[in-house]
Amino acid sequence: MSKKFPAASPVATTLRASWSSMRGRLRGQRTLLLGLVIVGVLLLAGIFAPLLAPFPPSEIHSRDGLHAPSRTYPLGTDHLGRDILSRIIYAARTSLLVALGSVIVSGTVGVPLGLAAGYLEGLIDSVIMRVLDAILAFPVILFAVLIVATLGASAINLVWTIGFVFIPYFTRLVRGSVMSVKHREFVEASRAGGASTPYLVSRVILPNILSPILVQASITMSLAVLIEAALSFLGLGVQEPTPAWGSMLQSSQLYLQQAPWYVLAPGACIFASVLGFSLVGDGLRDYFDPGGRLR
Amino acid sequence: MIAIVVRRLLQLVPVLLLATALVFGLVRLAPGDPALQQLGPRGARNPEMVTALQVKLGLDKPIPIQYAYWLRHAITGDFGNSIKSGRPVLGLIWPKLIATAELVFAALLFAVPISLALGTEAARRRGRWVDQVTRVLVVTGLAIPSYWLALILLLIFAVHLHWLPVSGYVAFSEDPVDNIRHLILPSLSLGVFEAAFFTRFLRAELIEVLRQDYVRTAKAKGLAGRRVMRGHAMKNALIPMVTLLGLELGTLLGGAVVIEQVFGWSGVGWLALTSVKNRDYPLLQGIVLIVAVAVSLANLLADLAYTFIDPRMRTAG
Repeated sequence: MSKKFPAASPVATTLRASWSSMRGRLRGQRTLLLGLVIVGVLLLAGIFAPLLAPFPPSEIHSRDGLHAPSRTYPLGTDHLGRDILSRIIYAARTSLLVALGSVIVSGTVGVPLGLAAGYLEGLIDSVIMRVLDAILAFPVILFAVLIVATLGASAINLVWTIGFVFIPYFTRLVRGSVMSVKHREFVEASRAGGASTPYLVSRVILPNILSPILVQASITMSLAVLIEAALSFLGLGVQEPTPAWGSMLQSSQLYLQQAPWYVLAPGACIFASVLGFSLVGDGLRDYFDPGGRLR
Repeated sequence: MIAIVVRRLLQLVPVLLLATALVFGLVRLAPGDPALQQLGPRGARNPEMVTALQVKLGLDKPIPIQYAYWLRHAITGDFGNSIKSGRPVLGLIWPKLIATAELVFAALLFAVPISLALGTEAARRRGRWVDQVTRVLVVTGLAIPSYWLALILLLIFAVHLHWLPVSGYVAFSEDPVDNIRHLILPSLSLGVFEAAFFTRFLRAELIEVLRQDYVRTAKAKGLAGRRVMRGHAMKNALIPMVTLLGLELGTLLGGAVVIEQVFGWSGVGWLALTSVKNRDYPLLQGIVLIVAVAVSLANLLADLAYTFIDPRMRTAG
């Protein structure tokens, strides 16, 4: 808008205008803000883990096994005497990286498939959608258990597995969005102007459906954290000694009686990440679409 | 109506074919020759026995032929034998399926009434404190990992208060009271997410319905709020709830995999994880497939129920 009225510094004006309008919209967006704060804290914890953690995550203090929370160990220690606080901080890296990797996998496969299915329709659409329906016939966790059982449990296999099971969610969403915009005037106009199909799909349609994709990515992040933790909890995820919230919960179950504090922190971290990413998703949806069209 | 049922059933065929092919392919990717696994370390040293079993299992044929061979047996309910116990897979799965069904049913028994109560109150008093509290509960219920909740419930009610058993499964036919005592914590842990999910859905649906003209008409006629809710609004909001119930079977069965592990509830999920530990691929394959068929059928039934209840869908579908 302000580009049309060049002031002393057009860039600054544009920035200021967009910033103030964004701030205005954000003011009503407590959900989004709360989500961003939670996600921000977790990301910072993961990035600056070596600075924040009081101990190396796998350092064993054999005399202090199952130590209750104290000044030295703010959240207590696990059965090997490893500091729980340090481990949950480092585990943020594992969980968030696996979740991010999975979302990238499902997005890079799912979005193009959805673009193809939605734009081309016909046989290609039917084939793509039937194959994805077959994936959707399985409960996500059970299917992930099957894949991990055949591929073997490791962080990278978790990324492929979780990424794979969430492909249909992106494809369905993108397909629907493409179908709803592809007959709109601006698309017809570019087509009439001689734009090629790849150009139309990637430069005209895709930018216009980015907001629902972003919302889906955020919600998928929350689900990916949940699934990663569940698989690690079942012993099919990241293996010891790498800290992961799910596997910490798994070992905490053995010491519920002696060390009840052990169960709290890792679970609270999973809860916070799932909550954070789903709040960001919900908030973004309201932000992009105050009227609720995408709901 | 019959035409719709037939068409939906036909649509299910390619989906199930692909699903079985996917599972079959994945299991074939797993390391190790099924014949060697089935024979065990001693038999595996005898090459003649290995070849004989490979021929018997059809392992000397190309993969697509193997798949067709396996599928022909699977359709008649023959999923092969478990590597660990040597017994037919289906016979092993069946009793576990009953335990899981009980758990899922109990979770719904808890989730549905709660969501009906909370969802209706929140929609009726939108923006008031009931609504605010409900929304916080919903957001919390959707984000809390069921296995963490399970451990916390265990800590409070089993470890500290000793009110309920820590783990295990007792069949209802053996001891009904003990069965229910073992069932309470797992079904609560599994049901909280569903309760939150249904509440959010019902609240949104009711708010939408309460905006409709026929509700305004009913109110204008002077009908009491309660009667409008029950006679006009609920009827219309509950139709999509029926579909949702069918669609949630997959989520519930997935959740059961983890919850059964926490509580040692020997259902299908527990069996699946045991088969993973034993590398018992025929068993795992059978479980995943039976669950996939159950989920697909539940989705189909949900769709059909929707068509049956709401005549408008018959022409639209």
